[in-house]
Amino acid sequence: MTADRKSAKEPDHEVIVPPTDLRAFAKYIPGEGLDEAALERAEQALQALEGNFGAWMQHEVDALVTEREALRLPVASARAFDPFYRASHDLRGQAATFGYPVAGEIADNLCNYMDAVSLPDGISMEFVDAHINAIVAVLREDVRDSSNPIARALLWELGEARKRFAPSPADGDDAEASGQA
Amino acid sequence: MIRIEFNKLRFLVIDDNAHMRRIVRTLLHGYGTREVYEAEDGASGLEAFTAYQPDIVITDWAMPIFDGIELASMIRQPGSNQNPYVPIIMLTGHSEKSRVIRARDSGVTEFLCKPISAKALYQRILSVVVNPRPFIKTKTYFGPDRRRGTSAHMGPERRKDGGGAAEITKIEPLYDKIKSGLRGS
Repeated sequence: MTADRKSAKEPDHEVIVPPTDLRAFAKYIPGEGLDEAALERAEQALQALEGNFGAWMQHEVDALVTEREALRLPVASARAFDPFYRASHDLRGQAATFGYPVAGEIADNLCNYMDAVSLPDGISMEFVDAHINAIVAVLREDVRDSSNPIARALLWELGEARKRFAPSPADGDDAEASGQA
Repeated sequence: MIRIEFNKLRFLVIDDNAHMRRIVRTLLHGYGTREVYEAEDGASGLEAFTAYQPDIVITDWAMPIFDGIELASMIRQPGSNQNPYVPIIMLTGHSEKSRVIRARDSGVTEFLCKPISAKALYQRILSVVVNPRPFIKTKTYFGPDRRRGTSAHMGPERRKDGGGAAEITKIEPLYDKIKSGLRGS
C-alpha cells in the first residue's frame, strides 16, 4: 500500500457531542409558543430603564463627537480610526433601542462608509462630519423616526452620497441579520 | 412550551459599552437569571470566562484590545480551557451576510443583530439551550456544526448530569468514502 493510499483513509474531521448539555435546564410544560411570562418580565424591566435612555443617547453622541475631535489629521494608520469607528458602531446598534432610530440609520450609513473606504487616506472627513452634524441635529430637534420629512430627506441624501463615494457590500447583501451563525 | 430555568444558568456578557451591558443584564434578570457576569473588552472577557465558567457567553463584536471574533476563536481552542463548547451568542450592530459568515467561521453559535429586543435575545438563548449542535473539529475549524438543522442528539441519552468526556466520532473524507465504495462495487 502506498503512503498516499494510507493517508487518504485518515479521518478528515471529527464530530464531537459536547459533554455539557444545557437541555437539563429546559422543562416542557403544557402550552404553545414562548414563555410569555418571562418575556413580559424582561420587557417590563427594560421599560423601567427607559427614563435613562435620553441621557444615554446624549452620552453616546457626546462620545462620538469627542472621538471625532480626537482624530488629528492626517492620521498615520487605519488603527487610529478604531475608537471613532466603535463610537459610530455603538450608536448604530443602540440608537433605536434608545428611541432614536433615525440617528441609528445615519450612524449605520457612516459605518458602512468607513467599512468601504480605504483608511486612512481614502476617507472624506467632510462627509464624516456631515453624518455627525446630522446626528447631533436629530438629537437636538428630538427627531425620532423617519416619519419626519426632513429626516427622511436627510437619510436619503446621505445614503445616496455614500453609495456614490463608496459602494458597500452591505448595499447588496442585506442581512439575514439574526439567527444561527 | 419550553420553560428555561434561567435561575440555574450563568451568563457572561462582554461589551465595551456600559449602556448595552446594562440593557442585556436587565433583560437576563427579567427572564429570571441570577448570575450575570460582565466584562468590558475581549481580554477581560477571556479572563472572566476562565474565572466564572459561564454556561452561555453573550459578546459584542467591536471591542478594544481584541474583538468578539478573536475572543470566540480563543474560547474555541480544544484543551486550552475548561469549556471550549460553551454557546457563544454574538450581539452586534453588524448585519451584513459576510459578517455573519465570519462570525460563524470563528465558532460563534448564534448571531443577533442590534437593536436588541427581549424576544430576540430570548429566542437565541432558547435555541442554544434546546437545540445544541454537535461540534466539528477539522485542521482549520473547531466549533458548532455550521450546517443548519443538525442536532447534537445521536442515539440514547447517556449523560444525565453533564460533565464527563466528549463523545467523538472520527469521519473519513467523503471523497475517500465514495472512492472506496466504488472500489468495493
